[in-house]
Amino acid sequence: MLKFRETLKIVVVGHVDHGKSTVIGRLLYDTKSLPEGAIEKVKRISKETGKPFEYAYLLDAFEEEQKQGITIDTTQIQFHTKKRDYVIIDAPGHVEFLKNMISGAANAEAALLVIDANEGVREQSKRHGYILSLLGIKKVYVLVNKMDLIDYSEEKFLDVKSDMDTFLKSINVFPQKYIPVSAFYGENIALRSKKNAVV
Amino acid sequence: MDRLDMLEAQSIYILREAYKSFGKLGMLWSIGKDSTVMLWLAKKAFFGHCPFPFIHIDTTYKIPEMIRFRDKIAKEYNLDLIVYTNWDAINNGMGPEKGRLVCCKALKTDALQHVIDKYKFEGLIVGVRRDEEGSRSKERIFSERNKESEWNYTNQPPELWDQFKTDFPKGNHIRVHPILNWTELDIWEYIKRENIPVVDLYFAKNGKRYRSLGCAQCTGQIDSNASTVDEIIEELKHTNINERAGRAQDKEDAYAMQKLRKDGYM
Repeated sequence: MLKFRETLKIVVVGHVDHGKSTVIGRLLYDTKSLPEGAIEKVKRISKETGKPFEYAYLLDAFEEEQKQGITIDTTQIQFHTKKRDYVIIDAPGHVEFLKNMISGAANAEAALLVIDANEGVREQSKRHGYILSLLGIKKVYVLVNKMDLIDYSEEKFLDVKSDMDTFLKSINVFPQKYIPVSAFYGENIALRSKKNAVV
Repeated sequence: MDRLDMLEAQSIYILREAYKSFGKLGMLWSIGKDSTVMLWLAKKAFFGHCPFPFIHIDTTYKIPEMIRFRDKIAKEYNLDLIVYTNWDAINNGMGPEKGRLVCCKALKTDALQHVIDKYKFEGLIVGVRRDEEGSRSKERIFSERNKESEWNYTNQPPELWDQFKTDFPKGNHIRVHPILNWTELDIWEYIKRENIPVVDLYFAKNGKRYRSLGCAQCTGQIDSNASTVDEIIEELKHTNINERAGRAQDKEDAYAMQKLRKDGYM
């Protein structure tokens, strides 16, 4: 008898530049899920382009994606914990790449909807929320990202949460949780943050 | 359902969809572990008989054991095998010393293009996997190429659930990727489960083994003592090294594989 292991497919969605690829890149990095070569390659490219280590490059493999700092097409990456196997699906946030976002999301059983704490709810945050509801994805977690930009303010976090919750309720999406994170600094990504005490 | 059962079922479904969709269909067989697993899946999908030809693009620089294994398996499985070499390029002195990417393009991409033109293939089944490399991770399961085999990777069609795009202008073809969602570890666990013969080069001798196979000059061995399928599985569960670390052409340029694949490379 082979040991049964559960696989969960999760798509990461949300508005452009709100940090979807960075969330995934940081998660893979912090959990040491990446081969050496992948990290070395990103370090080399980041150095060439004069940027700090760009976690998103771990997913955004195309030259066009790295040069423009955007995700064009969806990608999938495997990730394992003691508990189960995961397929993590990255999705682009630009409206013109919506068909790629849908291609990714159609495969998922759960979703992380990423919102920039500083910018708040934007057009694609809503549109992606709506597509999740159309696709029947019930397990939705909202990540309020870039908490570092608002000094980990609980008040602002609750404002974003309230805005998004009002909208999502109107389309019958009831998120499991709202989680404040800073993907760039790894707060509440692989480990519980000491800064965000507001979950 | 067990993970390997699920992957196998999906791959067989894709192979049958491809067979249903395309008049002229072929499968690329590189003699490596992935396309050898795919060959096994094709035998399962069509009850022991593969109803399409297999294509080996022979650069003439392959490791000799690969060619011996190819001929042995082709005979045993009674395969309809097309072996093609771009002799024009070889006779003009093409080799890795002319530049690795130039050589890959001439002896693999161009050679494949000649085969497509000659046999008028509408569908080509290719054993690429997402976890191998970045541009492959962004692939569709049914992925269109134009007359020159170019991949318009910044504008791929949507692919929802098991609905695949199978209509395309005449002259174009579709690359079908049945094992896109398999990982390297899945491949080896499946080889173990099904007892699939693979070329000996993967098993360690004197502390070295090949983890990924290609042309002799551009493929390096890794340090390893894994000399059985079980030992390879154990090694892969703990390794932190990239599968294609021994493939020299990948390192020629930060976007080497993307550039090769844009022009029709596998």
